[in-house]
Amino acid sequence: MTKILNHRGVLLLIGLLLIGVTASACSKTESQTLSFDLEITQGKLTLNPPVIKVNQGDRATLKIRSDKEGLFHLHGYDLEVEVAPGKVADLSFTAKATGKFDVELEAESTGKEGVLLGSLEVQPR
Amino acid sequence: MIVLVLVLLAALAATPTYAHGFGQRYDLPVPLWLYLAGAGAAVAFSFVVIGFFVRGTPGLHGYSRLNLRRAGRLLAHPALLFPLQATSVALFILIVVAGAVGNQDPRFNVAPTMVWVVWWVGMAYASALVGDLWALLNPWKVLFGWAEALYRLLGAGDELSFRWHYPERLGVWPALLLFLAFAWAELVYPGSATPSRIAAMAVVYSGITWAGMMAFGKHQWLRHGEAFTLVYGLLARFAPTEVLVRDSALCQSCSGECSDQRERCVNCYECFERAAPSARALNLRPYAAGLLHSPKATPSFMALVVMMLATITFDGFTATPLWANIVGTLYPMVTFLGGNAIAGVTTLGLLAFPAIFLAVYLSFSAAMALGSGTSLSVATLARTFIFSLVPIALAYHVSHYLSYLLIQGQLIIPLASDPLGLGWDLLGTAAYKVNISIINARYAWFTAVAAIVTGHIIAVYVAHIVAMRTLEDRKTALRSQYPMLVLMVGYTILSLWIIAQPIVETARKG
Repeated sequence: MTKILNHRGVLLLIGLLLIGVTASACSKTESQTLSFDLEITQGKLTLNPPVIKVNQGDRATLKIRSDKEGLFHLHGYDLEVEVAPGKVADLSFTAKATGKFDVELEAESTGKEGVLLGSLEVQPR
Repeated sequence: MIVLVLVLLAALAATPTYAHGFGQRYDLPVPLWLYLAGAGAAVAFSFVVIGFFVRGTPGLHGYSRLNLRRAGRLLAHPALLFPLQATSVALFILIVVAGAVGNQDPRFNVAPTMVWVVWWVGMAYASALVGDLWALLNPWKVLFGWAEALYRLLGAGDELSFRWHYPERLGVWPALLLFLAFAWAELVYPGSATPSRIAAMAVVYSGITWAGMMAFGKHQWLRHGEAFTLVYGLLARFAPTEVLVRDSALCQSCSGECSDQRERCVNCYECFERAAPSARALNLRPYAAGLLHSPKATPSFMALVVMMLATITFDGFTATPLWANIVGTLYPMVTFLGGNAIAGVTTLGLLAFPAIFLAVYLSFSAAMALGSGTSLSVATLARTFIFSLVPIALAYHVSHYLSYLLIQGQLIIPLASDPLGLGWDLLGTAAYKVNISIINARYAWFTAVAAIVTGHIIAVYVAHIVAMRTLEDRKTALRSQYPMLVLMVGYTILSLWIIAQPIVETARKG
């Protein structure tokens, strides 16, 4: 029986892949509780670049101010909170899932199109 | 440039657009160190593979096949295949009905998820990793086959077709054009996730397919015009299974060129269908064996392979900041298209990518011809080596879509209970919420890079074997592989680069 790769090559590959996959299970730092002050002006986040960065497992609290009424929507986690001028809206959650999640401001009155504000990035441990 | 991109994003906020046909992506780009490690590993392993060939020619003569004997005959038995085919037809009808009359919100209708996630991505995975399931389950093929069986039963004739002669010069161009139209629908068309549009596209494609089958014969059309049979069939050449028919009399009367020189016909579905259950066999074989033993592609088939590889890469490229910059630069030139300006630019990209791909590939084929000193033409080399690039595209496809399949794929659970989005709960799963933490980003990164590097190694290996078999002698063969190696390393690094890019999302509806 002929083989595609000889035994040593295949074992080396499998070994490397296993190392890689187990490396993915390692965790390093402790979870933190973080607070972010966000301000929305004219349909844009004043945060530059508009990316909220946390690590997996962190507890994040977003304090959101807006110059217009609307619905602040965090995709993926599917969380939302009403924002309005003159008040500070609170959104708290534990960043369990890793990835890049869009943050959108939806206008309740028109109901349809939202404005992409930026994103939440949850880095793995 | 950042300002331009943000302005573009704001402009796009008015037009909901979907890349990948449908659905959200929550990927984090692969970190730089891992991208560089992957690139380095790809190059290093390439030399290891060349090392094997400097001393010997592993795997040159045939490949190991494990006949599944009775288990194979059971799995290939019509009594098992028929219910599977009936299920496929039922799902097809469900998709069209749900698309036509169901809830038009893509999140609550089974059609977008079934078509873009379960079928387009899922079937590609299955074709490459398991076997040519599409050849078995293709609803257009199955339905036409049933109609033909009825036709025969009624004594009206042997084939439900006018049996026009299919001009061989046309090759697979009809399939290529249909696949290009499909790629456009997936990557450019803003309505690709709308259920009613999906139903309409399915109906139109059914009409074209069945008309082709009636005109030229079912198997003739499947071989030349049915885009998905050819595309999934190509991916299935990588797969570890094949079907075999032991009935030389039957194979000789087949309308395709299915005779394997040494034995009986392998993966000829026309013979398979007509063969008695006892003449059917199912073999296991090593991955990529089918690519190793693909004969030289016809020019049109080579073009189809190039089109497929290029559109897979273009899909990922459209999410990169570089593409957003290109769109931003070209946008002022196409404002006359109004609301369709972005679609216009993306269409140009969709047409340019395969053209660039082909030009680069032919240049490297020319370099192979010149560098090796072979008497074979550039065209012959290009048509012979094209299959060795498939593992790289496949590996990129697998890594690019893994989280998409695992996350968006979960939507099938609530949709199974409420396919039309009318508030049903047939299986009790309608309230299921998608678990976005099902795959950790770090795991996805390592899997993606490992897949791409593995695909690269397999591609280099396949190209070396093909060279040993095609070129005049060992020295010429090895010399021909240096340009090919550069091309493959380049293609692999491009794939790694794409997965390391920050993902630029266009605005979409909630």
